[in-house]
Amino acid sequence: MKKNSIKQTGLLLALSVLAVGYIVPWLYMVFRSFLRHEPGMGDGAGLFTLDSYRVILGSAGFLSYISNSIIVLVCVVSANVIFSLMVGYAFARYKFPFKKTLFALVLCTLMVPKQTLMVPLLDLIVKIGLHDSLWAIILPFCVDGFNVFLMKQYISALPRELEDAARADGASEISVLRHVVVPLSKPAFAVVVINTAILNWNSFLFPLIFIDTSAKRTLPVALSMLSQGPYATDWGVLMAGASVSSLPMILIFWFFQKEIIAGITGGALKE
Amino acid sequence: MKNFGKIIIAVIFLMFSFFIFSSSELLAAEQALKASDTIELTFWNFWDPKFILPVIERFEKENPGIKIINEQVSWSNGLDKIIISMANNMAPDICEMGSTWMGKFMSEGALLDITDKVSDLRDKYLMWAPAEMNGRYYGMPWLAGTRVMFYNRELFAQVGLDPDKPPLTWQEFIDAARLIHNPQKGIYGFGMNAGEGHILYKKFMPFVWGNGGKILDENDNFLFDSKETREALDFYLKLKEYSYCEKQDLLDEAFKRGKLGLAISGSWNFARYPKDAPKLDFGVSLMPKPAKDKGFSTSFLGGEILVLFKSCKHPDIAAKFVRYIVEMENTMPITKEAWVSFPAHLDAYKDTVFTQDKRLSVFTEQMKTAIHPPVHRLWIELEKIINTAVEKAMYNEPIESVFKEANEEFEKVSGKKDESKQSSSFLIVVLSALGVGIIINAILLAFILYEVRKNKSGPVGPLERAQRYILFLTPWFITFFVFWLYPLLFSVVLSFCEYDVFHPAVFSFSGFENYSALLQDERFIQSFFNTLIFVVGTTPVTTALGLALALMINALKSKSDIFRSVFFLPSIISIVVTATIFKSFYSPVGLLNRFLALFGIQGYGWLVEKSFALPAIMTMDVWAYAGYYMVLYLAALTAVPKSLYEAAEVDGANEWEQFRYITLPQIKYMTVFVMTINTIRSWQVFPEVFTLTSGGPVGSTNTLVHYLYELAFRYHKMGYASAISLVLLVLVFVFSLIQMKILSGKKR
Repeated sequence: MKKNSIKQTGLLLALSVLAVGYIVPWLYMVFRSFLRHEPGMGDGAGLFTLDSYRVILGSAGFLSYISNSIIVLVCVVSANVIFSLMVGYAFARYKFPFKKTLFALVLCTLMVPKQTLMVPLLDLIVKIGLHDSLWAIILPFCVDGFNVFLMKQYISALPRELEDAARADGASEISVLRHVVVPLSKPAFAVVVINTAILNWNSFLFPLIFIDTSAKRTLPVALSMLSQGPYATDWGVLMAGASVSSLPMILIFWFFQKEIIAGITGGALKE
Repeated sequence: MKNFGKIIIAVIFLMFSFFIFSSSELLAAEQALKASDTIELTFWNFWDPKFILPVIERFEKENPGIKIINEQVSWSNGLDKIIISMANNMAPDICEMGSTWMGKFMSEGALLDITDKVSDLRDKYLMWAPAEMNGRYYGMPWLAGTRVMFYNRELFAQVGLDPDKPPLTWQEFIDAARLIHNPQKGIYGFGMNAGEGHILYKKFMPFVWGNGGKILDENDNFLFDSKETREALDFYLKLKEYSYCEKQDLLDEAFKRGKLGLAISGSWNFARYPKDAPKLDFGVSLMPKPAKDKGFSTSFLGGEILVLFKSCKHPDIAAKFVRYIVEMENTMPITKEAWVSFPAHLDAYKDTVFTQDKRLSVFTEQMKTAIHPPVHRLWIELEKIINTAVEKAMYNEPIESVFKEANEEFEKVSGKKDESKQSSSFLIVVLSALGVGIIINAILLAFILYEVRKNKSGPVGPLERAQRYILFLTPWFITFFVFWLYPLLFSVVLSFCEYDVFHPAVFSFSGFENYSALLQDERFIQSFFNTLIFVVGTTPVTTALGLALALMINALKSKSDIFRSVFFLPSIISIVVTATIFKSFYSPVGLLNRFLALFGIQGYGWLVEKSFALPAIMTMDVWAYAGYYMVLYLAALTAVPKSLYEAAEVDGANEWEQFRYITLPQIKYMTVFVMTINTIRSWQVFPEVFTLTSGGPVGSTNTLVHYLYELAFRYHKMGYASAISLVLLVLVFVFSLIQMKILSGKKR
């Protein structure tokens, strides 16, 4: 019994030490964003300031970066939910030629990182006239292979009888999907939403190369640009930018912790 | 049957037109909005809009009917953006350019000849050289800047040097740096640039120039390997003994804190130093010359040129705006606000600001002797060659091999100008689209024939049966064929071609040249090994840390989510945010070094030290991603049946044995999954590198995707980049396949 409580204390201690190592960077980020100078510089008077936030939120840019990020996120996530349901359903329920081959191709797309296609993709985006528009970072990402795979696996495990009953009642395929499959697939949707949202919110390379105009940038790109000025970096402003851009995610995480964690593990366990 | 064909054609037509329509509709709508009487011109520049917008406002007021659309571009990827926009025929009308880029754009024929629009201003402005080619002007000088020597008067006095007598010769320079250098106290003699592109040569070349050296002669021969350069390099390396090596912004920061005796920097510090460090007592002086009776004092001259692109819609109006903005009263406010550079207008220097401030007059004095780098089509590449050479020498590579490599590099970049067969990219595009179309066609046809063949008579006919899944599969078909297969095929085609963005209509077939070039490309090999180190170094550590965290949390009796949340947090926050925080952590005056200083350990500039930069990024990566895998492992651990442990306990298995023989095998599937996704992700590491180091110092953190990005968008070698991306693709594929085999095949 005693040995056990020592072990528990040890674990608690070790985890706490590690946790400190994980919390300090965030605290520092917020702390630094309120400082006028690098800590230890200048005199103590007027050390704390809101100037950095004034700069960040005052520049018209940052608000539009946030709204761009949100627009893209909402579009990509909802497109993925709808399309992965449709495609996943077809793979799970219908019979058609090359079904196995096509599904293997779905899995193939998972193995080939999109980054490696950046040159021809940019070329394509330019040729169809989407360059420098938010469509360029929405359309190519509307159907993700992983989500299709996930929905297919999930729907395959659902009982078929309900759908057949609905069909017997004369329901069309679309309404079978809407009224029978959708209500049963909510847990899978959660996985799709969360995985897609995290990936999309953090996506960097494609917004970087597909978007030219600064007003159309997304948050990660804007932040990265901010940290790369040729002259002395203003860490206060940079950290304020970092704080502002991570705040929405921290809040969402705070409220939907359970769902998010369940979503991530749900995605993995289905593999 | 006739109907089927029609439907097939309709579907294909729909799929292909969807994107074209959606985009052209948008374009049409945009154009409709613009179809008013005002003339619109786009102006790309690098300044905070608060400096530029007032000028534009005044100009618009004075010239009704003209609208200038201001667009701020960043220095870090402005050049890339300009190149990409040109390739897409979306270049701005008016653009601000770094003067060192002019050689490239002028010789590519991208700029409008504006000789007749600006030549009357010849005598009123300085720095015409970078805007001139073959006696014609392709730009208008706007702002100019140079670098001088900054020195800390207080530190000078402390070691017995006269603060009023800054070093004038190389020897005095070294002596002063040596006397002041005291790393134990965190004081350094000189601040030397390292770890970033485009800057080091600005500090080094003045010593070569002052020593009578040159980079190119009249016939474009590369003269970098010369007695003059060797002497300058020798001096520079001696100076390095007493130097602190860092990036520009961190050097400025260190000087501000009184940590540096001497530094070579620009005028922007005039705005910052007095504001941030009012007590700092600093002086500025001219750059030292080789010796009292030898050479001369010179510095780097560079600045901003305003240009009109060939595609400019209203050259006369654009030129009017250019002439307006370069006027002294419109440029001075920019200078006075940020002090980054001075007006190119010569009258500006009669302004009392310049004449009365002793330190500023040093700048104007230096400007008279400063040298602008050669205006050459390959200057941007040459800049990189010089930077790399000096940096390699700084990191102790033998001088001989440094020069040899620099010469080889030059041969490589300058040799690639052979005439090539030209074929239209249009043909390739049409053929690829046709190919994709035929495949889709065949599949759809097969679908319908399949349904007809089954020939089941039932309530729904074969067509409707086929329609069901064709409808449902369409979204995936579009994404797959348009955004995956087509790019993939096109990438294969590209990899056998040379593709120049400056002439997008011209493809030249180059066979296996790109692939054979790969094997000799040192930077490719370096970035390959960096990525390999990254993958092999982080994947097991991240996985192990994730597992360890999961095990610890799982063993904890008090079930609380707090630890889980804390460790998981970095996974949902953009890696760019994390990188930003770590960038400040790793800085020489950052939190990490302060922490180490508590234990009396002298830290480094982690991101500029060649041997630490990659491990520093890897450490951050482990920190950022371990939590994600922890969550996955936690789920797997919860799924292990408790009864197994109870049975083992009865058998007397200790904790290690329980872990080894029950836990590990039970969660093996998760290990396979974690390792696989982790590997795939690690091969593609990019935002971290882009944000933290841009591949530096000396390419020691260049990864495959970053190199790919550089090649494609900085050096616009699209064909070569495609070859690399295919290699990367095969690598990822093979690597994860092998890994899956090993991990899942082991001990069943």
